[in-house]
Amino acid sequence: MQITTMDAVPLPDAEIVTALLENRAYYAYALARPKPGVSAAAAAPIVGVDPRHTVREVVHGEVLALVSDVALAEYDLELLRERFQNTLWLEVLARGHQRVIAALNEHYTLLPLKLCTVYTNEASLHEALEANSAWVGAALDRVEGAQEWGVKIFCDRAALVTWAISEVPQLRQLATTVNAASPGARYMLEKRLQRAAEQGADDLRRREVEAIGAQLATKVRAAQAGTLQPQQLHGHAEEMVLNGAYLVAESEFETFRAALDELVAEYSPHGFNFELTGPWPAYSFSTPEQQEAA
Amino acid sequence: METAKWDTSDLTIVDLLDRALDKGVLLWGELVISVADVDLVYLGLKAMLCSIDTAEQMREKAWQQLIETPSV
Repeated sequence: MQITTMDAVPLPDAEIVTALLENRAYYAYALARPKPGVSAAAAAPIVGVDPRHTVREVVHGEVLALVSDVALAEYDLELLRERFQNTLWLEVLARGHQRVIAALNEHYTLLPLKLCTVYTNEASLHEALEANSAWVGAALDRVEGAQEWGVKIFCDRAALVTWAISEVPQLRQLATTVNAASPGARYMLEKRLQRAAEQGADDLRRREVEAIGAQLATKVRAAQAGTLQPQQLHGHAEEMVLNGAYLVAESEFETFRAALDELVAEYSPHGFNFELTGPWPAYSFSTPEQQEAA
Repeated sequence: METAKWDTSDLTIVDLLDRALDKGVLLWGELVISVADVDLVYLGLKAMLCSIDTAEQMREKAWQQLIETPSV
């Protein structure tokens, strides 16, 4: 006969019980190390996404995780499920998260974590840090002393088509033929030019956006083409044709900026509108996959 | 050209989510609540823009892929 005594029943992890009782969890913002020559300790405390708590360091070997306490009940999965559908809530969280990340970016070299990375206890955070220790050091080396800049280009279709007609030899020739045509023949030729110009404009745009990307890539540590946003989301009248992220060494920023200014001068007459955002911490250059690719 | 300084009020929510949700590092560990590595970006905004029905379907579908609790 097997006898099960009370003391054979495993006790729940004391840390988990404590977290539940105290309604405590850790919101992790980033993996980090102090910027060379910068003392984070001297800085004013940074208020976390939960304004009742400030950000602190969890040390794991050479790497830090930057965390602040949050109420565990606020991050219940069912509750989060509802909240992620609430645009206002999502925006408040995203802006809070960003405020903290931006403040941390002053003092630390950062690998930003995804929004809403929450640990229920410190031990599991250490476990995650241990599991990722192989690539984190090299990833921090790669982004140290650099910031991410976002370059978006919006393209005015009418200006692009006009440019294509003057730029592409076949289209130019066709346009000359249209102008010289008799009134009777003109209509059909105009239609033909219109169709050809639409196609020509697409080809030209592809070629030029590629050239712009290649030009910028020579001034940066790494470049990444992001997903183009649909018009309802970016809200511009023009179509988005580039959503690039560039990892730029702080010492190289002036060079990058000058190259960008040159491109703006060259392309804005053709309906290309540029937008620069940043500096961001290296969001687009922080994953282990990118580390391998590098 | 517009140059956004590091003033978060200038950044659009789309740009923010594009990075903080789509690009950030996914760090798993035991007992972590985390948004899984899927296309969550624009979820809330899409929901706002779409008709109620479409938004509902999309939320359902996206949510199924979104949040995973690792087995402990």
